[in-house]
Amino acid sequence: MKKFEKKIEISYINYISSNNKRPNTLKEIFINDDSDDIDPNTISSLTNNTIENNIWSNTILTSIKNASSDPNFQEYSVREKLLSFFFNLSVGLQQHQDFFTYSSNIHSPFELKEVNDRREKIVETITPFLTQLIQEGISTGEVEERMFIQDYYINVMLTQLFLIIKYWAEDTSNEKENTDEAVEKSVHLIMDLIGPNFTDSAFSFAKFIFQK
Amino acid sequence: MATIDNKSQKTIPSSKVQRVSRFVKVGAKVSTNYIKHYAKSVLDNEYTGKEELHKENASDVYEALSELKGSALKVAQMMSMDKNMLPQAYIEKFQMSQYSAPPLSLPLVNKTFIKSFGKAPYQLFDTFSKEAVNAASIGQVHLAEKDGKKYAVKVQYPGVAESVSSDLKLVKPIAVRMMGLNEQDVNHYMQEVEVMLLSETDYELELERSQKITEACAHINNIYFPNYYKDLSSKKILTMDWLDGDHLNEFLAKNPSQEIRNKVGQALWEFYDFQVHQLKEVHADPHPGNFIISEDGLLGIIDFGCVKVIPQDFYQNYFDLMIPENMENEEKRKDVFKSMRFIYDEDSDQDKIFLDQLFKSMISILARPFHTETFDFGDPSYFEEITALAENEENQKILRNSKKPRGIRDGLYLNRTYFGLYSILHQLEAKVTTNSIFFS
Ligand SMILES: Nc1ncnc2c1ncn2[C@@H]1O[C@H](COP(=O)(O)OP(=O)(O)O)[C@@H](O)[C@H]1O
Repeated sequence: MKKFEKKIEISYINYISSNNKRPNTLKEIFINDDSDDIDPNTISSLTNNTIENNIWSNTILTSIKNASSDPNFQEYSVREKLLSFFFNLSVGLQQHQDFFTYSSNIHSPFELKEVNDRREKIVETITPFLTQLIQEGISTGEVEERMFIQDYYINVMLTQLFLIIKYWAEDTSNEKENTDEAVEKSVHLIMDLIGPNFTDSAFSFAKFIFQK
Repeated sequence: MATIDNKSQKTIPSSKVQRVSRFVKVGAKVSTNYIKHYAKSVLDNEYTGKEELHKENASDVYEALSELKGSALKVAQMMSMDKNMLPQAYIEKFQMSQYSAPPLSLPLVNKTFIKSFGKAPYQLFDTFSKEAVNAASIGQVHLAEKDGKKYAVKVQYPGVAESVSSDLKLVKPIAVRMMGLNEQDVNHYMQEVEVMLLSETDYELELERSQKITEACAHINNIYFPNYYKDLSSKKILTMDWLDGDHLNEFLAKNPSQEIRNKVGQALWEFYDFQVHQLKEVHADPHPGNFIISEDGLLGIIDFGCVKVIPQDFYQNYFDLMIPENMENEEKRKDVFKSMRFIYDEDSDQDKIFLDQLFKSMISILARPFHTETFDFGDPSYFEEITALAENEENQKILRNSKKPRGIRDGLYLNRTYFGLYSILHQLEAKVTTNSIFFS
């Protein structure tokens, strides 16, 4: 079952990468596949939208997993952990660049629901990780406890996540190097914002975003 | 060795706008310094604060440049070598830029590794330093270990190649206005720097060159090179043996004996003589950051970022004048100065005479070590002579006001190489046997 779901995801990614459009029916993604592990019940329980959302969500989980498998991860500061997550995420996006670029470019008003669904799914997936980072930051002193606004820290980080994904999708620099810079700058900015000492990295990041 | 200031990591300015605004900020500060200077000089006829003014400007410009990474830093480095082009105060400040730049985060280093090899540093090495042990001009160097062997791993900043040209455009007005250089000279110089910089952003190229030069120089005594590892290198990552030893200033701080200093100086002399006169290619800028010296006086050579080929006809012209008879032969000298664009037909007679004398004394001074069996680079009077010539007000004025570039770029580069070499030998206070492949 798990294995088959993985297979669906891979076939779906391959379909979009080679056709640059969504399949009309999910059967299409298996059109060249005559192995007998294809389970029609599972297929009929899924839609393009749910599969895509699962791919996004799984990529985020994999990025967290890959980031934490770095043996230095436990010793990293919260700042470095966040950086590490984002760099792993951009590697993950890059692995299926065509798919993720396609899937990030949802524009039509008819797709608003899809955008919302996806957003919710991503938020649901990443929130435990970010919450844990914020708590850890508070206990190490990297994150300042501020009454009233502290609850918004997580939103700031989520906004950053969506900004970085958008930035990545539109990044035309060689090997998407600008995204790497955007990650470094924006993480420093966020950590400064929620940290005890606010510095001028806000200025630095804003300038970066406006001219690239 | 320089350790890197961790806090600076948060404020690497990178965007073009920000770079511009940074320079504008410096510009404003420099002008305030000038206003202060003028105010003082109006009030006080005796005021001789020019040196001080240079110093103030230098630290402002330096502050701005040291916050930039990449090519601006490199330009600062190259200018710092070029005694010809900068007042002394700038040189002192800029030399620091050879040792400091804001670092990349370890996660970004990991990412760069994964991009290149599909593996993180900890998967390729037994240990990998969490922080950079040294800054490189367009990257940073980490110390790694595997099977008990130490490696130096140079990792490049992202986006460097893209920013080379735009950085140079930003450095230019500084060079022209704030440092009072002649625009033609600067254009001249920038073009050359741009080509070299672009080739320097490709570490795969650097690896190939390094292996070639290492082979070619294998016979020279008392120098050694790291091995380079192709399967642990990519366009953005360069892995080589770690060389134990000191930078020039650290080496000198330990008061090495005259004998050992001579040994290092000799190795340096022979290394450059071989490059210039045999290979006719110069492979490493003679700036102190490119050498690691062992306690017993072996000269480790790292960094072959740029290769400068010396064209044959230029070589002939330039070094012919090293032979005193040729230098004294007015006809010949005129020809060479013309073809090297030191002097133009359109120059006024007065300028012609003046420039002829100037370039003649410059080349003669540079050639002097070649004319004796041994040369004592510790001799301060020789360097005072060089400085006096370079800082002579009248010379500076005529060169600066010249509407045309003086000297073809190959010449500028070779002068810079020799000045760089001599100033390191001077710091070593080395006595060197100055025989040259050129005369043999
Ligand atoms: N193989 C090495 N062994 C020890 N230290 C090294 C080695 N390579 C580089 N370094 C250190 O890193 C610094 C910068 O390296 P370098 O190759 O000169 O960078 P770049 O030419 O790109 O500016 C050197 O000055 C030196 O201190």
